[in-house]
Amino acid sequence: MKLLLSRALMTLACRCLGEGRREWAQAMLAEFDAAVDDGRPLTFAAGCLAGALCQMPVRDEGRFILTSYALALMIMVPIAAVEISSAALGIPHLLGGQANIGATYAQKLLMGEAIRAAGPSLALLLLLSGIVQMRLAWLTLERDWVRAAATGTAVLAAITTMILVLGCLFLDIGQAVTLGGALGIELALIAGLRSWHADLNLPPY
Amino acid sequence: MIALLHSLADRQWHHGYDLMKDTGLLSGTLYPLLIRMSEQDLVEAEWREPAMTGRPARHAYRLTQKGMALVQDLARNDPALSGKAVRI
Repeated sequence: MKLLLSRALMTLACRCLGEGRREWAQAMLAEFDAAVDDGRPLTFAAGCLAGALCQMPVRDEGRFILTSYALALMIMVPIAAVEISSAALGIPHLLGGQANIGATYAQKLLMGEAIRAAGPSLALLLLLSGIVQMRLAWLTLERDWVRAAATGTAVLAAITTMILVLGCLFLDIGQAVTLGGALGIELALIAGLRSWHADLNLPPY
Repeated sequence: MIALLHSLADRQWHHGYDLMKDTGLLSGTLYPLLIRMSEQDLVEAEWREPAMTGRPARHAYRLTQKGMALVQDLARNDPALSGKAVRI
């Protein structure tokens, strides 16, 4: 268990050092075996992680990594969690309990069946959108910008489809539009990160 | 840094873990120091084949000429350093 935790800390320390200091990360990893032989793997790994973390704010690449994680963990994952929980709780939850608010009695009567029929599909679309957003967060951390762009476009298409369907059914689109706006900001931030990453001019990982 | 210079003053190749034990520095202090000294061209590093099979190649470090000049400069005020620097 101690060895497993130590290896996890070493992996994290190497990730914190980034692409620009990959050789130093490999050097620390190579010394890890000596620390294991000496019976002090955890002390060594914790020290490497502390050293790598302390270096992050003072280096451009470190600041880039911190920003990537902040975007993924503080914006992307929470939005994905909102989507998944909304899908799990059902579409009325996404609509804030105000389904069909703008419709007349006649419209409600006409559209009621259509809304009931569309509900599961919309919930599934929202669930898939949440899951794909989790993947988008992972791709951002992996700096796989090509796949991140394709995934982001797919999520945006899903949310746009949802807004159109909700509008056709005379349902409140307020929360879905907010979600789409948040996704738009998220994609703009990812584009900014991509540009920053290109400016760093790092060797391929 | 003085402790590290003291350990490296013999101008032999040293592995990172050996330097940790020799200087009493923790890995979180030693590696940032080695990185900074390497960037300032005070220390050079090279990959060495492992002593045991199945182990990865290890990084070894030694002072550069510039690093040695710094040691000799510091040795004028530090008897501990001058003891090693004389042998070079």
